[in-house]
Amino acid sequence: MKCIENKKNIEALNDNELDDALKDAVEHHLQVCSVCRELKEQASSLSTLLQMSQIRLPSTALDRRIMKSFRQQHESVPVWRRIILGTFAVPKPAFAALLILALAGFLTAFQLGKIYSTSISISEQLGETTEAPISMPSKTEVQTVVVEVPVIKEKIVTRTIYVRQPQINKNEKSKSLDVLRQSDLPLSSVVANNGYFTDVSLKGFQPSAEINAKIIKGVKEDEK
Amino acid sequence: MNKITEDNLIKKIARGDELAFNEIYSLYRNRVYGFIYRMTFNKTLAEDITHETFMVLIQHPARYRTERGGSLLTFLCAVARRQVMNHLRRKHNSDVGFDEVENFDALEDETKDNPLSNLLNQELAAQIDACVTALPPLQREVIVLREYEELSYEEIARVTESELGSVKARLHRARQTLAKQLAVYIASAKDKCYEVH
Repeated sequence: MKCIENKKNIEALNDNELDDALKDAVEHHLQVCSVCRELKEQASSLSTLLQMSQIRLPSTALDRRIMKSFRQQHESVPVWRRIILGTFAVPKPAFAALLILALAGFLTAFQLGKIYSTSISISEQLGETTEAPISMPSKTEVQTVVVEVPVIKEKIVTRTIYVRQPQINKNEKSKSLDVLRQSDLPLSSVVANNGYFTDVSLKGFQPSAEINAKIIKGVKEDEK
Repeated sequence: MNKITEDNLIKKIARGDELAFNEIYSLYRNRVYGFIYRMTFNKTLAEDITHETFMVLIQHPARYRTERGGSLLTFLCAVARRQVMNHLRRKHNSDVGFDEVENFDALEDETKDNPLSNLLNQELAAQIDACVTALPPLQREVIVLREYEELSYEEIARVTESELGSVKARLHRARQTLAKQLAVYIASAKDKCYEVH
């Protein structure tokens, strides 16, 4: 090891900050190099000299003040809070920011749903069907189910619109089932009208003469 | 004191256990105060900052986390250092100087047997303190933490929030400065010639 390399390590050797291998190498060099040995002695002397500076201990008034502060602090904090909040700390600004964010998120979601929701009515003008046409039994009274329709871009897509057939008498039951069998309705159908696409599931249900849908998200007025 | 014991004591402190706090306080009071005093060389200010430092432990014990690494001493020194640096920044070190009279009083009670030895020791201690005070704060803190608090380089880096290389460089520069200023005393220190027999 050269002297210039050794000089860097002399302080670390005195501070006991060298690993064993480097420590051995430096000590070996010190045995053969008087210049480095002198440097090490100077470094040791400086440390010894610095230790001669002594300070007076803090006063007992400080002890009393700190212990008093400790008692005051824990008298003012309720026991439940000490147990719950004592083991972990959430900085107050971070806690407040989280609270505000959660509140803002909730309000935004609530208000958006309220503001942008609207209802559209798709009546019998469902002529532009892309798949099987839907036959509307005119005389049958049907129960209308309002379905919330999520809007994707400019188009409305409903997954299911169930229009349940009203309860019928036992006498008419067999006749009704025959009608259902004869109608041979498809399992689902896509109804297109003015850019709105509606996926209607028809299995076990009769199509309605009037379908109410509710748009959840906002769309441009002219596109409705 | 190992980290598990410290962690348990901190949990007890959080629950308001005075004995646990007293144990921690008794253990680290002198070292924390010593570090602060050597950074400010003002007894009243050092006591105030020591109080503030332990108040952090009292009010927010959970800020010390053993899993972050480092001991409770390094945590307390880091808290104390922030307070000291804030103070030095505020005051620009103008009114925080070396209190010579106070320092001469420091050893008065301890060595009354040999007045000449006392005088020489006090003079030397005052000279050393003056040299340490004259160091820039960043160099002063590393020399105090290493020489008086006996922290490792890694612990000093944690306390000062610096890189290990910066710590070594500052320590080296501080030692070079002190060696120059105290050159006349260094040779004597080896033999402790200020002990007059």
